[in-house]
Amino acid sequence: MLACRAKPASEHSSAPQPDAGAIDTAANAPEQVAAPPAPSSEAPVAAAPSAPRAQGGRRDDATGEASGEPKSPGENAEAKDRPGIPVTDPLVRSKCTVCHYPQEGGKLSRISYLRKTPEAWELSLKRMVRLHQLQITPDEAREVVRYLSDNHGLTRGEAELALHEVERRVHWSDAKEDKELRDSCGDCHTLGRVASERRDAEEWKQLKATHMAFFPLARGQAFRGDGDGGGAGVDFASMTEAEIDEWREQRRRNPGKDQADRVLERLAKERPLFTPEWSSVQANWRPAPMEGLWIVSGHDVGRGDLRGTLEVTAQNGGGYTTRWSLNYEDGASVERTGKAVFYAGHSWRGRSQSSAGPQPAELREVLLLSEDWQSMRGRLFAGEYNELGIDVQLERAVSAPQVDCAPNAALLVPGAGQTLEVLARGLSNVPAAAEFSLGQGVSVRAVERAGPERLRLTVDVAPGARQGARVLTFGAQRAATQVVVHDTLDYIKITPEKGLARIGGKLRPPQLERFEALGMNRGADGELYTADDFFVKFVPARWSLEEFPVREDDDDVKFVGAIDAASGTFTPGLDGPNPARKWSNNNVGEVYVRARVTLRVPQIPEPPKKDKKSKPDTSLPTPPAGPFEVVEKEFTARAPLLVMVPIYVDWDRYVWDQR
Amino acid sequence: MNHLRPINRKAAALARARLDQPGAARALMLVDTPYGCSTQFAPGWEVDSSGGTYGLCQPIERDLYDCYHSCYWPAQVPDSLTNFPSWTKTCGSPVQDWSQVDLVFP
Repeated sequence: MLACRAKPASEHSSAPQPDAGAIDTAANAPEQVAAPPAPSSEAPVAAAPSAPRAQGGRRDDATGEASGEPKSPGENAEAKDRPGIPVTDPLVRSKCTVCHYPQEGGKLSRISYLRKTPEAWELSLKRMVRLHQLQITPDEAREVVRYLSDNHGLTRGEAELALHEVERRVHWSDAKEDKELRDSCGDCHTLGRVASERRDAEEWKQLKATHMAFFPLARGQAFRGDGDGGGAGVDFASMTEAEIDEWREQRRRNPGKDQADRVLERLAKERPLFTPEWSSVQANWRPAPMEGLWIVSGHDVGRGDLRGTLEVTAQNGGGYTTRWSLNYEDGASVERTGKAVFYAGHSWRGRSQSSAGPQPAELREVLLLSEDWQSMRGRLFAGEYNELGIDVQLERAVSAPQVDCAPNAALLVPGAGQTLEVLARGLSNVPAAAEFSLGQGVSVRAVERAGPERLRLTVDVAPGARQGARVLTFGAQRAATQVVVHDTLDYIKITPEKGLARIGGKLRPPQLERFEALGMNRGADGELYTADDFFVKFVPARWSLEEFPVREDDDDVKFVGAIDAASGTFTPGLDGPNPARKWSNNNVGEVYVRARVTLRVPQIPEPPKKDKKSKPDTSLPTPPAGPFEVVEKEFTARAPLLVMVPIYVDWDRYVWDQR
Repeated sequence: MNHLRPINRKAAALARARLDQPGAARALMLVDTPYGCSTQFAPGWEVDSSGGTYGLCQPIERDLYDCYHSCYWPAQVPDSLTNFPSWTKTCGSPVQDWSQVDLVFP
């Protein structure tokens, strides 16, 4: 055994280092040395066709003229007819022209032919620091990312397609994407990275060259670099050795298109640099007013639904300060404060802190503003692998009264005198019952005040009322969340359907998994487990683990970790070889997560069995009218859980509030 | 061997050999490929071709340097060629000293 030396060098420290993490280590990073000015020369920059945007909605009048930029006449000539986005920010030009050549029309080589999300620009900038000795201070890096995200960013529609990537969702599948795209790109990283960029045809082509230079094995692995079949279909048996050598030589000179070439050609057509949408966004661009109050609804796995508000205040010099007031279904109220940056006219990135209660100390925020500026949706998240997320929907607060259903709202059919809690803003008086509506078969009999911004409705649901989700309306206002009308709970389901966790605790903290039990109804067809079954409400469950046998004497369940019986939170075992396991295996494995739920629910009588001899009845069965006897029932369900090995590169380390 | 019949010269020589005698057999090469190391991208980093963990290289520390030096999983393990040439400087044997290598923050 070789002795281990002292603490690692800069690029593999246990904390982000100043050089590699210059962008996100603002406060404490030592001062970086700015790039030395290049020799003075004439600025080869023509006036930009359109001036770029500056933060806070100011138009930046910079012409992009910067002294000392190197020239490359050859590239200039080549780029003359190549449409690109001019780079006019003096800071970006001064930093990037150390390597990237200025071209006609204010363009810079490579940069002018790319559009990306803020996260993708940040990754690029970090790579320039890591591999190309870019000297940049954290403040400068933030400004460069801001400029590029605003002026070389994605449109709202494009950003929506890449939203899952920047939301850092753990449960996301690329399975529906094209197979060649998945094979070429998805073998190593998520396809969200591909969705995070737009390029012109030449730049898409160069993407392959970059990958092959950095990771030569990619040619054979992901790109299937044999080119056009790799000799499949060639009749070698009837060829002489000389002919085979000739064939090989031809092939070496002209290898044909491999899988990556085909994929990149398609990307160049489907995801080009310039689109009509992009042109329209440029022409219509103006600052979106984000200040003010937003109404928040969301769901925190394991803790239930939450409601609340977000108060946004603009900061001098750009950016926003935030105050989140969140009320959880379990009664907890949490105040969070933070900061945020708004990119490209639609992308909100923030970070909030709280020291109260069982909350993550820090939550990152990724939100996307709607086209009409009236709502945002996205994810608040924490965790080593960003696995602890809260899905949120925000509506801009308006002066008119606003109503919403209280969390996990459900009504039984039939049922007289049921109560429905309603969150109501801007209602000083108790309104008349007739102003509320829940659609056919459901009538609001009475309204009373249940709190400062809370009403309690008394609701009657008539026998035979149609089951499913209903929208509560108050006058012309519609509630953001729905109430589910149902006759009973028929079974339970576990979410996520397949759990994912990673061992950790020594080298890297673990990836946790959180499970919830969903109460389900059999739907209109009366059959269990069919497509028309609908979710009614979350139900409290008791949780345990069971073996998922894949081999003889399978013993994963003894090692993979433990699940909290009450909350459904799974904590994986430690990383590293485990001497107690065969071959010192890691604590990885497959197990089942079991949920048990005991509830009192209406007992629905079995529908009469159909006579097979008679003509098939295509009409939906008529649900029994009730009322039904309420009985105690035990429900159970199980879901597979995969406990995996760690990932040794933390690509997703972002510190938004320090931007 | 009672149920097998040699069908070529090499197999016949093997059948005649007294392998239970000392010195009759000599190891010429020890394959140091770790148990379960994959040569293709299926299995993946997290799961084997069946979607589970049984077919993976285990423990992962056994294979970590091979992944690192060959840049086989550049999104999951630091690559020695381009981005993180000194990742393993602090650790000679990952199976013994696995906790000495550290995360990288690109």
